[in-house]
Amino acid sequence: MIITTNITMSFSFWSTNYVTTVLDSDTGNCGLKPKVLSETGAPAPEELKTSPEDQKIDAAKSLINLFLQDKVDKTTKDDEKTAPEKLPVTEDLKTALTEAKSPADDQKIRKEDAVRVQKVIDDLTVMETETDAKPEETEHPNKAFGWAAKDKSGVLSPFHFSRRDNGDNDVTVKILYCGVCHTDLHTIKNDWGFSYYPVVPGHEIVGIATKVGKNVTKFREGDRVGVGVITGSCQSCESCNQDLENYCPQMSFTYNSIGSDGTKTYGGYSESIVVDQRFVLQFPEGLPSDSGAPLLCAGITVYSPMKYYGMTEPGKHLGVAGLGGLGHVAVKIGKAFGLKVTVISSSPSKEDEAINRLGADSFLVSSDPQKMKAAIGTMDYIIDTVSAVHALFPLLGLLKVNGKLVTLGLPEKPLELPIFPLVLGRKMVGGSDIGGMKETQEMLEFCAKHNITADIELIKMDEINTAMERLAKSDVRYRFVIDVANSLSPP
Amino acid sequence: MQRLGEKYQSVEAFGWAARDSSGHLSPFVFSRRETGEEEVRVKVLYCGLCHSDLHCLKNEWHSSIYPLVPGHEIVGEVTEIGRKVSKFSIGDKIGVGCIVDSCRACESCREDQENYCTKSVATYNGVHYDGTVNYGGYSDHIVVDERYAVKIPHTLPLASAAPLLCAGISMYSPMKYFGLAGPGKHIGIVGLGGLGHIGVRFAKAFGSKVTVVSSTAGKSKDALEIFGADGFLVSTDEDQMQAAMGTMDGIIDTVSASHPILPLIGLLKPSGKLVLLGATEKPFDLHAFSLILGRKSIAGSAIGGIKETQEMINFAAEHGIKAEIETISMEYVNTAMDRLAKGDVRYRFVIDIANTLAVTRS
Repeated sequence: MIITTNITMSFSFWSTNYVTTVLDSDTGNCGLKPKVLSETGAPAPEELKTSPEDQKIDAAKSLINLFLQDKVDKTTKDDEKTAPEKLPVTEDLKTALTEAKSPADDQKIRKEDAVRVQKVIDDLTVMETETDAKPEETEHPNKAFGWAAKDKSGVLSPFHFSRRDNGDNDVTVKILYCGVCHTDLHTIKNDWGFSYYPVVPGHEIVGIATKVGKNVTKFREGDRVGVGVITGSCQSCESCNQDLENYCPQMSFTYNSIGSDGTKTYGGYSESIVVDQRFVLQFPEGLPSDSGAPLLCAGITVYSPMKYYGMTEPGKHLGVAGLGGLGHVAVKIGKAFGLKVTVISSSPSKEDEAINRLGADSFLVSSDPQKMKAAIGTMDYIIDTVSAVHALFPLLGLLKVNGKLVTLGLPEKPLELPIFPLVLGRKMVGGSDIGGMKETQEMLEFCAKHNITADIELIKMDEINTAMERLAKSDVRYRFVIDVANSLSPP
Repeated sequence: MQRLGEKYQSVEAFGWAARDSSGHLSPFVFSRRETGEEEVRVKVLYCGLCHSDLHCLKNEWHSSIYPLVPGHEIVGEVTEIGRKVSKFSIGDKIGVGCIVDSCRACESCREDQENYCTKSVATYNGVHYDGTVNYGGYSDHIVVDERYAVKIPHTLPLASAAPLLCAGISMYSPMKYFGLAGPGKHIGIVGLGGLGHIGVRFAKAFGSKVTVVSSTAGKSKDALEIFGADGFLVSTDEDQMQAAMGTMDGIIDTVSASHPILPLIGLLKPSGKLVLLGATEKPFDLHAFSLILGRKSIAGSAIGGIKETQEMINFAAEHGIKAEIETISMEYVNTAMDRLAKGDVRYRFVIDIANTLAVTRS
């Protein structure tokens, strides 16, 4: 529970501030844990008076916790490597750690934290001075190639690295397609402050299994498979035992994370990937590889809360706020559940598409007060995918009594949540974070059955930087997908 | 004392009212309607002091109509019944809570959730369908449609049953609705006041594990020894709060004053629910990550429907649950209000109307 505890602790004491220019409806969440500080210092919540300095300390501490602490504290298992963990020691990290270590008079670092920070710095100093520190290319035995962002400019370019051998529980996937998620953009730009460059993004991966380990029972060579947002978890906690790996405190992500083997993970903008079978999905027959790829993040991100919060009763009325990567899939899934679907958007120009192409029943322009007023108290559920700061009060007003609003977007500042509408109408605002592996498989089967795919624009690998610029302006209907197999070639 | 423009009704009544937003209460002669066909006339025996009474007396919600006779935790005896009344007989001990009417036709009303009907009529400061203003339970009697009254089983002591009509149902309803009631569940109750203390008793009766979260360390003894809570967290103690992170299935927050909500979200387990009962005018700064990580939710709740209120009363009778009260005389009410404003009450004032109201009429 360490990571969860520390995440929520750190989270309590500073507020996030995302340096992002996202204008419209996509979400960049996908379960990533933020430990961030903006360069200008986020305004602390009124009740928690934490100076920017304190926030920096806490961000650095939580950075440690997220990436290193569980490794430092972890008891050695029999099959664990005895070689020291090798991590890229960037100047940023060293500076953050050093600052965290030297408390000023008015900073409250608890004694045990100071000791822990010192130990981490000592370990890193040892690592740095070792002359045989491995770079990415030789870290693992197998050469790999992809595109990575090297710094927070976010510009992606060819990148040589390495992948591990296919272990007994692993599946090696030759990547065919990889969706471009808004989180990829946030991460390459270091919007959330914990990007570990070089970053190879990509967590909407579809490919072919080329190798399966001897313990692998679910997959065979030649199977068409998917890999989503997470590729590791403790596999033994309460969340994991309930097939909710996405809420496991030890979960690790497909990219920009420390995997179960202690090394950094690289994502799907690459030729191949090696993944523990638990985190590989069978791609159903009939679900196209290219337009099905975004379901691995966008799809599960909307499907999971719809199931969990009971937003699936046929005939009920669902509002989908924001019509981007997540929103457009939510419309399709909502219709498949037999719901009446209204798209709520600030862009009147999207109405035609929403109704005629995506199948929504109606379209509500959120900037039209009269139309919003007329729709008060008409919706049973709302899926809110809007990532920019926006008003919740009008959305809550659209809900009927006992209505539920699920928030999936991560705006750059906190949203204002008015309490009266919640109390007077027993309304609820909930969050959700991708979904567990079992549920993701279920979602894929559901989409295959109902012919639900994303609306995509297929691009070549070398078009990715342009695509990222367009994504930043929401200029995509509604997801870019990289044709990896046909366009990624080592120089 | 008939207010200009107020419709004079045929039956004289006496109570205490505030005339303005100072909230100061004093004797008040007014009138009530005849008992309708489906109505009962109730001699008020006891009336609880709810914090809402105080908010309303002071016009904090900007909707108070003066003269204002508060009181919506009413226990009394039926003295007259309309000819179509079937639920009650003369002599029955009944309770009247926060609402005395609703539209009776909307989805909420049809689902026995009159409390969420947009046209529900409050027991006091609400407007009856005939245009008259409702006067509450700080009075000698009240007339109410039988549909909105509940029977008090004889095993429940009347004075300590009064607060159940508002405080009790306010806690019982969300515990049931949000699935927090039952063995294996760990509930946090924020604020140990009129609502909180009854909530602890209900939660324990449900078999849940209960932790009280309070800013007043001094309440720990009562929480653990009198009310049976399993744990007590001082909300201003960082270490205690951190140690309890991720441990609760649900939290019922009874505090209405503005207070930090983010640490409470941190106390929740994944999929945990925070239920707010106190509504502040100032919105809450919602950090989306706080809900997204761990799939947590924030919801509101407001009292409960009449059917559920009866169910709650029966449950309380079955499990011997009553409020912890300080019985006061009508004369003491202004002092009680001052003390209530400072939280100086263990844990609900209840006015002994039957024995102390009449004497104040000079």
